[in-house]
Amino acid sequence: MADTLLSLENVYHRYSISRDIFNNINLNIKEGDFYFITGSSGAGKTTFLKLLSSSLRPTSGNVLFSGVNFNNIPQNKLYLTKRKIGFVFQDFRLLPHLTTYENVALPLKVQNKKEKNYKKDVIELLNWVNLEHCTHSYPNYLSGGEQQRAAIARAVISSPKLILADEPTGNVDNENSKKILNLFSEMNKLGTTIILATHDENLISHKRANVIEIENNGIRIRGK
Amino acid sequence: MNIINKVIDKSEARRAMKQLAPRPGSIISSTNFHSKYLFIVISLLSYLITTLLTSFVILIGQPEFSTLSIGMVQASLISWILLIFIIFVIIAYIIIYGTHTSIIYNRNTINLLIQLGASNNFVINKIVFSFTKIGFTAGLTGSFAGLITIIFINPFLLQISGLLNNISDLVVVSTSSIYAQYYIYIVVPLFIITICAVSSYLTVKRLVNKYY
Repeated sequence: MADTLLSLENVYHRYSISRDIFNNINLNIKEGDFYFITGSSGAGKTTFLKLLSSSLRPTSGNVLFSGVNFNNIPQNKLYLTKRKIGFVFQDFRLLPHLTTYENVALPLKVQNKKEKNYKKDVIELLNWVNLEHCTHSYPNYLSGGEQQRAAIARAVISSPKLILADEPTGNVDNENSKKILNLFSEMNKLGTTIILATHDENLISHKRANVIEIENNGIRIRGK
Repeated sequence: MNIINKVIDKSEARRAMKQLAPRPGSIISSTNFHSKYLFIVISLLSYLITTLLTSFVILIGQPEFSTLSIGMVQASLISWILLIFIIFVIIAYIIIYGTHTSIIYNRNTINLLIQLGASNNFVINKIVFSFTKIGFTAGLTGSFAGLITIIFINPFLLQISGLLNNISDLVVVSTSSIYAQYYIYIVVPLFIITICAVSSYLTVKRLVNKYY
């Protein structure tokens, strides 16, 4: 029986007095699970991911990661939790003035790790995502699929327990979408918990996984 | 031919390794225009402080200066100190303004770094380092330019001034008297580095802790 990695307890979130986003959400996500998050545009998929990644504190209720309540972590210590969570953005967010290698190594660099200790890992990871030919290239010279694979490699490099992906296939074609989904599936097989937000039902149909549907300020779980 | 082939092979191997693991660049980039502007302005101010301080030290060493009344000496001393203090305040203000601009320009990068698990101190150190580097290079450049000016231009100016005023004992600054003022060329860059580091640190710390 896998341990619970992420728990939401009576989570309530609002942006303004007139705009509730989530109303009393309860959810348990176990280690090694694969979840899709789906919902219409503006339903709150990104907000939900932000709550899970500790980038946003809920208006009320608790979000627990590995049993630790985000509300109990001081703001200046939150970075330690963020290091255990990988995040993949729809718009990649690769730094244009750094090469692919430097972008992928960035999470390790911000942890002040020595380059000699991670150089080999970064090169191996770039091989795994088929970007060995782009190591020295800047993001502007990469295709959309290559940029997203680099962003995935960046999210994986620090071996996080949880990977959150916000519409990772939103800016790539169908073929690249499948490749990216395969990468997430491979990571999941290695034990990483994956939560992937998408509105692409076609993508969801390619993978047997739980689906969290966000609707009417609440969530509905659809089983595998 | 074998040796040439070996050299070519080694060179290609080095190039391949460089391709595989390039030298890491600066995480928080600064716009070239922004850095150059700061560098030029701080260099000019550093140059101004150096020449002012050196000329003051040279002047108080002259016998004519000792004949002035105490009130005159104190007044000139205060005005000189005030002028230099104002220049230091201007440098601090420029750095504070530059730090604000840098944070606005790099806000997406900073957001990303925070999301990737960077501590506030990591971000603060990166920004402060870039401004300290500008202070260091600009301080040294201005100070060096001041030294060159004093060595090559000031004696001629004083000679001309002496001739125009029909003064028989010309106040010509000799190279040895300039060497005596060497500490100014070290102290001024150090002060500028300190001002750049402290003012950027206080600004960036306040902003980063407020917004992140």
